[in-house]
Amino acid sequence: MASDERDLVRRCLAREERAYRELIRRYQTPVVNLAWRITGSPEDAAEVAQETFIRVLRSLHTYDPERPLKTWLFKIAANLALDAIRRRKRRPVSIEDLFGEDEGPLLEAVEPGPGPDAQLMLDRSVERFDQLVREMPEHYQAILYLRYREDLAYEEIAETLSIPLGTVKVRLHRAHEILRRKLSARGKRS
Amino acid sequence: MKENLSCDECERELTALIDGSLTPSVARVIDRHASSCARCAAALAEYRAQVLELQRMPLLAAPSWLEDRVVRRVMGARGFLAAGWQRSGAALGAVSFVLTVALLANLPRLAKAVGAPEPSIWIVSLMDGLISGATWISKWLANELAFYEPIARQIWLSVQSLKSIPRAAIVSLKTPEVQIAGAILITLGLALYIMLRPSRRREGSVGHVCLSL
Repeated sequence: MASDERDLVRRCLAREERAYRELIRRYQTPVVNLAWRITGSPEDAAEVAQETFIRVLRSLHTYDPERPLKTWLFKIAANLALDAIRRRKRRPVSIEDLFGEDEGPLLEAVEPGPGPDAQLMLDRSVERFDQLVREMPEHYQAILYLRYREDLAYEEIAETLSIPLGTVKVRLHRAHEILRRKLSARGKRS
Repeated sequence: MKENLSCDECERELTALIDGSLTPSVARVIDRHASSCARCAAALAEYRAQVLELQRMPLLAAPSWLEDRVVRRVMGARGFLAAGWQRSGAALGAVSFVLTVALLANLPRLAKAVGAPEPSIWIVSLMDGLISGATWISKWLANELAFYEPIARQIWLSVQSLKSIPRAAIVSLKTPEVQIAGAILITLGLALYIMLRPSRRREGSVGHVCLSL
C-alpha cells in the first residue's frame, strides 16, 4: 500500500473528518461505477456507494494494510450491489448466477440492440459502444469495468468478485465474444 | 503448450494475450498462430479495438450528497457536534495556555505595577494558608469525634442489651402459671384488636367511634 494511502487510513482510524472526506472523494467515482455496472441502476448504485463507504469507515480497523485499499472497497461494494439486486428481485439472482462457475449459454446473453429511434439518439461512438456493454449481463459489465476502466489485474478482479482466477479469464473472453457478436449484428442491421 | 493450435484454442487465449497475462512462451505461440491465421488475426484486431473502446467507458458521476451523508452517518450528529466542540475546546485550551504562560512570566512586573508584594511572598503565604487549613480541619475532626464517641458508645450498649429480652421471656415462661397467663393475655389482646379495629363495611363499629374521638 502506498504511504499516502497508509497515512489516510491511519487518519481515518483516528476519526478525522477531513480524512473521511478525502477517502470518499478519492474512491467515490470508481465505487459508484462498479455498483452501477452490477445493479444497472444509478439510484441503486448511489445507495450501494453510500452503504459501502459507511461500512468501510466503520470497519476500517479490520482492514489488512498489506492489501490494496481499492480492492477491499470494491469487494464490499460488489457484495452490497449483489444484495441490492437480490432485494430488488428484478429477477432471481444468486452468487452462482453472477459470479459462479456456471457460465450459462452464450447466445442467451446476446440480446437485440436498441430500436431504430433510439439508435439515432446515440450519436456518439462511445455512447453507442457503451450501450452495447450495458445490454450485457451485469457480471460481464462488472468484469469489463474492473479490467479496462480500473486497470485491475486478473488476481485483483478474482479477489474483488470472489471468483476463481480461471473464471475471470473465461468471463473476459466471453465478454469480448459477446461484444463481437453484438457489433457484428449491429453492423448487419445498419 | 503445443505448437500447433486450433483456431478455437487460439481464440480462447486472445483476451489474455491482449491483457498481457500469458507467460512469454505461451504468448509467443498464440502470437505466431494469430499472425499466420486470417480468422484469428481478425479476431485479435477486433478485441484490440474493443479494449480501446472499453477504456473510454463513460463514467457515472457520484451524487453530490454522497460525501456529506456518509460523513454524517459515520460520525453521527453527536460526532459532528463533538468535532465542533473539540475544535473550540482545543482553541480555548491553546489560548488559555498562552495567556497563563504570559501572565506567569510577567507576574513580578505586574505585581510591582499594582504595588502588590513580590509573587514569591504570595506563594509562601498561600502555602502557609494551605497548611493552616489542613491543621484546622484535622483538629475539628478530632474534637467532633471526641464529642460524639460517648453517645455512640451508649447507643451501641442499648442495642446490645436488646439481645437479653428473648432470653428473659423464655426463662419466665418456664412455669405453667406464667404460660396460662401469657396465653390468656394474647387471646384477650387479639379479641380486643378484632373488636376495636376500624371496619370499612360497618360505619358504627367501635373502631370508628374510637377514631372519631
